[in-house]
Amino acid sequence: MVRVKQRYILFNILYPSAPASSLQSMVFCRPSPTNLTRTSLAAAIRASLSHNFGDWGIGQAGSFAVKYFSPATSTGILRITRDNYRLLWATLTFMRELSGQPVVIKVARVSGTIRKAEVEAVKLAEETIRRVRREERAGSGGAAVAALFAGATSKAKAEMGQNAGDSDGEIVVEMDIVDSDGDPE
Amino acid sequence: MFYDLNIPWTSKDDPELSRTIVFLAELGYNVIALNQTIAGKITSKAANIANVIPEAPFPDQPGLRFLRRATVILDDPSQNYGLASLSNNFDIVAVRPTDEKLLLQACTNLECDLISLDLSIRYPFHFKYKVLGQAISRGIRFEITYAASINDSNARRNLLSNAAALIRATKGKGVIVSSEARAAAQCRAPFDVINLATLWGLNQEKGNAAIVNGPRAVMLQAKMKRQSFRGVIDVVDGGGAPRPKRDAQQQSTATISQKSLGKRKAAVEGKVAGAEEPAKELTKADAPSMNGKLPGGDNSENRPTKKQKQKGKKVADRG
Repeated sequence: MVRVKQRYILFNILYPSAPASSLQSMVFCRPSPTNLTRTSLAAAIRASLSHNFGDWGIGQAGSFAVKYFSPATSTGILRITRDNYRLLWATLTFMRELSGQPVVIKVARVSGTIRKAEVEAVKLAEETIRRVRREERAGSGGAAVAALFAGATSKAKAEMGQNAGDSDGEIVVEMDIVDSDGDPE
Repeated sequence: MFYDLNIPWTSKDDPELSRTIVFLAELGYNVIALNQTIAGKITSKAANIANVIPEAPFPDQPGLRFLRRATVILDDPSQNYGLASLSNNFDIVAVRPTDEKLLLQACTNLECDLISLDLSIRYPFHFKYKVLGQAISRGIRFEITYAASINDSNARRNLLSNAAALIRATKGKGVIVSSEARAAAQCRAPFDVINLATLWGLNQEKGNAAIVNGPRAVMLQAKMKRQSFRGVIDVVDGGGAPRPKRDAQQQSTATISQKSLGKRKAAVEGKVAGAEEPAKELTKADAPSMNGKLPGGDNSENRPTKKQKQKGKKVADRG
């Protein structure tokens, strides 16, 4: 018996409608609104799939699952059968808005095991934290970034189990992947 | 290195443009061409159309390189567009033909670097390899812009069919993909674009070439056309004050890109440089045939690779 091959798509949601006054590199990576959950995200992706690829697309790639979604970092992992991952990827690329806000979904990694996707997600999160710290230290508009993240970071840090006061490296990022098969709906 | 060769220029104070630029940097692009569209009639006097784009438009983006590009909309076959004079002011000169006759003209004899068809509308004719192949053999590439298809469902349909037809007709060669995004929300990350290209009928490899090697070749080829001696030889460093370290060692070596042409070119170089002191130069063979491997270029590009250095040394030893 050949087992079903899957692909895990790690994606970031970027918010391109940042205010032009404080254009910093971090400004596009914002936490998602609270009403964006795994369920509503799955529904939105399915709607886009149906709009772009019709019934055929739903039939091919409709059996995806949102394995993980963190609104604090706007990062998530999708699972899809290997044959159809490009279809689902294109669907993500064609998405324009989520819960009323314009978004751009960027696929960061496609991998064969959820473990690798998870490792990559942690790595990206660490890089993000490092970048914010560097910009804060450099002081070049770091205040603007800090202000933007003031509400979000505390939440993000709590959620990611990150040690806020620890300034000399050793960033610990944890993820909580819901490993339930099938759709969240 | 990822390229986006089409970002419409509006003005320096436009917040949307600067937001788009920062967003592109965030998505991972390295080189961005700011595009100035030229439409309507060009009289012979106005052929020297001024470049409204400043030399360094966004100095606060150190990670990005900016090119300046002009796109001429062709709508009258009888008009002389004076494209050659445009290339003095711009890094890349592109044309946008509006019907079949003009497409043929652009493919066969217009002096441009890029043919940019508006693929979000329906064309009443088919793309034929006979026509497009002529452009490809001259080293001119075709551009597919995806931004319109992000916004509008109708444009998306047309783009899908047109892009598939264009890729079928060109056999996937000589196609580049850029955005033409008028807002930050219309840009997509490089790998997402490659995935879109696979949807249009390119494979992963060619999709990658469409956003990395292809645009790079366009950029370098345009530069060679503009600066070099008959598009063949370019003086990168004409002697002058010796630079420290690495360069000093190479002063006397000529880096040559093609072995067979080596000796003859080296001789010609001596004449072109016309200087007694040895000069470090880069030669290159006929631009179109080289495609993505042009050794010439500027700051980031002009460092010879290891292979070229060795080759250069060999030539020096022989001479």
